[in-house]
Amino acid sequence: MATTPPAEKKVVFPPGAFTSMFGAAAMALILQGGITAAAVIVLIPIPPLGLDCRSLGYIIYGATGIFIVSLTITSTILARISETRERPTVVKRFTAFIAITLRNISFLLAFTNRIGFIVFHCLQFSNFLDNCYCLANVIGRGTDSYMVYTYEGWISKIRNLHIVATVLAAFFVFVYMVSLWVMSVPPDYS
Amino acid sequence: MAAALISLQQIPLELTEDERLLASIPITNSWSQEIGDRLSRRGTWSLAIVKYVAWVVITFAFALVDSFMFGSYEGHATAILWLWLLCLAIGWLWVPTFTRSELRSVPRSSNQRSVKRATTAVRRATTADGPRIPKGRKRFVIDPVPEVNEENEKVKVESIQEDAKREEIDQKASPLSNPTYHQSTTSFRSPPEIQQGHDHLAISVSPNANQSAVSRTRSPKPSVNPETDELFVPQKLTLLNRDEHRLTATFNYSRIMRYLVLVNDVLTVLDKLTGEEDEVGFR
Repeated sequence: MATTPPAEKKVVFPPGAFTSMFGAAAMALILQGGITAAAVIVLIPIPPLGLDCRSLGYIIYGATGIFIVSLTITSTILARISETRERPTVVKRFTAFIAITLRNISFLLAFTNRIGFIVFHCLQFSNFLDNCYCLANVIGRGTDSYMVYTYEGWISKIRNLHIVATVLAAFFVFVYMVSLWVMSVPPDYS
Repeated sequence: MAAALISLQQIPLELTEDERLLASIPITNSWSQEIGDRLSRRGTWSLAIVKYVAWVVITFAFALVDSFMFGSYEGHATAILWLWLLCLAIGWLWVPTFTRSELRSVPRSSNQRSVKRATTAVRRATTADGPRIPKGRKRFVIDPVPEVNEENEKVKVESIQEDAKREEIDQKASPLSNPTYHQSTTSFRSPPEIQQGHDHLAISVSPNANQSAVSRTRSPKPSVNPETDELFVPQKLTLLNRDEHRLTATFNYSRIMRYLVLVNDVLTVLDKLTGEEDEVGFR
């Protein structure tokens, strides 16, 4: 047995790598983005109209999650590039540095996002968000802000929005679960 | 085997290329079957999990009823927003997850049992080290009976095809006698070596994040530590590969490349072993 095999070139990206990564990212996108969108749909078209504290908080939460996924994918690609470089070149060190930095940033973001999510709900259900600032349409309206005191004419619209949002969320959950089931089933192999 | 590989993508996985370990574990159907059976099971629906899921569903139903009856848009949005947790809880039951002790014991016991079975089974041995075999003749070798040391449950394997060259090493540190053999792994460069004639394959799982690491060194030859009789390769857990060795599926994103390289290597080897025997083994 030859103890010194010839130096072979490492495969930088194995076949199927990008398919797997972007498939997984797409599933995360479906679950996180779809559910966040369904939740925001309930909030946007009813008073306070537009982006208020709640819907903006939800959007920030969902967008941060998607952003974290993209950061980790970039980090993975850069880490692979770095570790397949044999010589300690500038590229190897630079990609490694970027990969590690992105990874740490994504962890920090994930932690703060999760904590912020829970804190946000605490604020929400303790009626802290029912202040004048959040009940009026502050964002994007400036001095034209107003506050809605009664929801008399909005009842049917709210109900329709609820139905739409529920159906949408159920659809995204269904797609996610089905694809997860399909992807996680081990094939019969003898 | 494929089932095991698919289910093991949730954990750090390494492909050893230690020649002694590679040659000591026979690939039999039973071995791969056992690995596949024991490492491809999913989480089971226990009563507690069913109850938890049911509580979540009931709570969600209450939120929906509340929003539809009383127009509480806030509760509705919140209920929808937390739906991902239900998906994740059920999804964790579908993907195979293992404990560290399980990951240590399953490959080891499968290897040992497979070696025991191989003592009665006849298996083909073809190595590049062995004598040249005329084309068309098949060479069958009956494995020697391994000595089972009851005290420390170590099995020593002395393969016929290795006796000449590696006798002294095998006596000292047989790979199977080494409980931490998964440390003796190097980077993935298996197909060219194994193509040269190994008909055996070993996959080791590395549940120990602090000790086992996929080496970044290019040295293909593991060294033997005379004091501990352990095979080891000087390995360093760097900031770059640190996440790969964490034992949760959350860190799959950092393992995907290495995992796919491993799968390709294993499939290549299996194809070589099963499909092209005459070209590879019986030169």
